[in-house]
Amino acid sequence: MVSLKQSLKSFLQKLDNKSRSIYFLTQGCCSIEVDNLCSSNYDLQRLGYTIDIDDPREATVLIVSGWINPAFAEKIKEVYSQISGDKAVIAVGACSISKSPYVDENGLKLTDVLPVDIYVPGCPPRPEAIIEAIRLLEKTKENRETSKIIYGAIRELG
Amino acid sequence: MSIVKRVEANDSWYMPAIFKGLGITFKNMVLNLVGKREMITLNYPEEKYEYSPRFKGSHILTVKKDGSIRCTACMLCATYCPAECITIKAAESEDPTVEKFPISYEIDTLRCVYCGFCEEACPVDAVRMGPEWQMPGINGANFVYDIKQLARRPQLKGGIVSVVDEEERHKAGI
Repeated sequence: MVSLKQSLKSFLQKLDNKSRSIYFLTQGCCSIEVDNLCSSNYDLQRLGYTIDIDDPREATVLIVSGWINPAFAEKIKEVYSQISGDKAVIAVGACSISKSPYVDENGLKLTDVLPVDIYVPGCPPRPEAIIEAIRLLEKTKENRETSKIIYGAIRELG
Repeated sequence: MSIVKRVEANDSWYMPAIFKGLGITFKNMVLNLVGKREMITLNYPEEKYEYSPRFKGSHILTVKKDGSIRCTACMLCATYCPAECITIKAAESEDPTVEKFPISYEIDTLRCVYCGFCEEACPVDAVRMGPEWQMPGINGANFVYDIKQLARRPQLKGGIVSVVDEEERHKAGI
């Protein structure tokens, strides 16, 4: 009976695996660190995340980095509206979190454009910090709407 | 004079070249499996990259030998900071040998660019850049680090003692 329970649990968790596909909207010097994640040094596909996505409709997680001007903000909104299901946004680097690395009035914050789930501070942050951010997202994922039903069922199994 | 090179028989047959390429791939796969060479890929959560001691990570406020904070609230770091992320509130100390000390020393890590200018500007070795890289957090988490987190977080194991000593400083006339 115990093994049946565990197999049911793992099956339910696999149903919620959709949030493992990531769409990158990166510019600036943080994009070098994010590209390093996808390369052979820190292989993200090794951890089970899909990164070779051309269409934002297939993705559920959006990673934004770099300096945001009004023209880029419109493109971010366009991409965010195309992402399906439970959306999550990760802001990488000081530019996208708080206008620009240095004090001036130009640019936009990402929080002015979208609701941001996770911040990764740093200029630029380490690739490990971005991996930690994606793993943090999975911990917070239990509170999302569609996955509430699945995790509720897992809890009832005990 | 232009020479038109015609396709020879060896070039038109593409199958040998495919097997040659697959042979190189298979050779590399076997060598990687046997473990004769080091893999570039870092298996992050299991093994961790060793950064150099000069790495600029999250900040550390050093302490004196008796355990109080080394910072004298001279505001040099807050003035020099290009991102203006440091806010210091100074106060007068009851101890006659200490001129002033910071009541609150806060660093906004969302604004900070980890340039290390505060470490360069500090005359008494009160601020250092630590070895830990900056941690991500959920929206709404605490990103403004105060004295408790900067000087006495559990990774520091009770605080790091500053190089500059108060009595030696007075003897030298600084």
